[in-house]
Amino acid sequence: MASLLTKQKIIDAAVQCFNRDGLANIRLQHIADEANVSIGNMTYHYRNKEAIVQAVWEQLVQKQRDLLAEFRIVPLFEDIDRLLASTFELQQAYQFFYIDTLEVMRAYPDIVAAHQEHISWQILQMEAAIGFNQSRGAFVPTQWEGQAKSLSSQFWLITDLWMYRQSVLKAATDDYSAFRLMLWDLLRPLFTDMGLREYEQLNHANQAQAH
Amino acid sequence: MDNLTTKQKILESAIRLFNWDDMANVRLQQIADETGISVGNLAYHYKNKEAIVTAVYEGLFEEFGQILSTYMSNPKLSDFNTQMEQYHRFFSKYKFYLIDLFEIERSYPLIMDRWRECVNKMMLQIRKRLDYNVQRGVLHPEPMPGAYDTLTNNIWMTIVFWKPRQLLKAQPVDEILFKRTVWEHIIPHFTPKGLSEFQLELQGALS
Amino acid sequence: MKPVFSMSSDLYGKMLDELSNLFFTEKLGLDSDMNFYRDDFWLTDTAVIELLQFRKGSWEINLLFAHHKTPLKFLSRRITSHSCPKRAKTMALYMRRIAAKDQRGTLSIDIKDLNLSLN
Repeated sequence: MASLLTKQKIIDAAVQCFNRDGLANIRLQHIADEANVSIGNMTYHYRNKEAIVQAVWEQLVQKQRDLLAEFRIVPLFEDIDRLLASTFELQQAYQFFYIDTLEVMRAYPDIVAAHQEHISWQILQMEAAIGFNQSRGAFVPTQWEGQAKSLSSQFWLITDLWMYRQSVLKAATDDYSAFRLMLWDLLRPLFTDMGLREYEQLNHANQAQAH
Repeated sequence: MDNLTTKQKILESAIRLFNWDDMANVRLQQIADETGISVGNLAYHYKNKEAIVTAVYEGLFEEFGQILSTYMSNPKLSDFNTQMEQYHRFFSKYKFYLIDLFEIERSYPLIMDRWRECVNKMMLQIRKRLDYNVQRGVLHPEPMPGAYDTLTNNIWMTIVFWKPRQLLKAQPVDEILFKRTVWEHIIPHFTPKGLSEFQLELQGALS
Repeated sequence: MKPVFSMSSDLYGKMLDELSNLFFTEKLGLDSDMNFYRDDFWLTDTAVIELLQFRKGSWEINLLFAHHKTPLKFLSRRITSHSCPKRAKTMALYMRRIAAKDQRGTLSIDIKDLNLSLN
């Protein structure tokens, strides 16, 4: 149990270091200092930086999967909205990964294969959500073959690389409403009248909550 | 003449190596080996790595500027299609570019500034294209204020990130698929006139 | 890295607007817009004759363009004037050589070409 706690402590410290200074600039010593454990103790749990990055990544993916698991039963508009909100929170917590995804992938090829699988899985989930909303009449039927698939993959592309975009443009990386709007606008061409009404209701409810 | 080609060869092998590995890890020796010349010879042309990196980026921005300058060479939808082809070629040649950007920011902040400028221009062009095609009656007017700003963003993100993303997913990255993916953002906004122009001029080339 | 010229994004946006506007404001021209060129096309096949006249106290140089096949189709243009007759003559010679299509003067007309009846 104690060892599990230490492991978690190390991972938390690592995430903090990575977010602060960027993945490439962090050495094991920095993480050990942040976690307040000795280097020896740390290498007992994770033998090198790669192992730590791998562990961090696994934890991140697990969290994403939990979010989607909740989502996949009846993905109504409010569920899509909730998914966006919690995905956004996750991105804030693991900033380094989202800003530097491409570099992480080049530097840690072991993760790539697993990550591939994860992206495809996410896309499938989204495709199912689009299908579900079509069958209940909130989305119009797809206009050409493969539209739902490519829309889902666009959806995750924009989600995953949003932070990168913001930092390239020197825009705020913590602006949730910009993030949310961008993704809803991607889905908007699919709205039926019913979909549009629901979306407006959703915005209304969100505003009321904010006040 | 001979000097010029050696210089170019050096830059080409530098680009190849940067695509393959972290820019910070690439050493002069590797670049010399890749070019097939001695380090001494290399140093005659470029005195250090910084000089090579700078030259590579000069070339890169030069090419990017050329792509931007093709804006509106013809008044039809195919104008954008042609520009997309060039973007595709650009991002295929300089794969390292997106990956190393933040690392670059630390050591060469000027490069980041120029890239920001390019990005701004690129987005403005996309946005103005949408406006132009609305005026021309090819696209519906914005369904609500700001909708085409986000559309612009989505198109931009696809142009820039689609390829690295496909590679991550181990999916094909050919040009036609790329162009089709970008057009898919725009298709739902076509008026009947736009749709028929699209089908007439571009659909054939995209399937 | 060399500093580069850059413009503000507002300005760049306006420039792009103007570029797009070109396609709305620029129209194809009509064929008849080029008539001025065709109307004067015969001038390329003319014999050029210099003509010196003493008028108002100075020598006036005129160039006479006459079509080499139908010499009655001709045009006279006043070029300039000089007070010295020698200078005027030299000037007229150069002017003719500048204006003539063939500088050696193979295109020429003769009084006989005119086929005039003196009755």
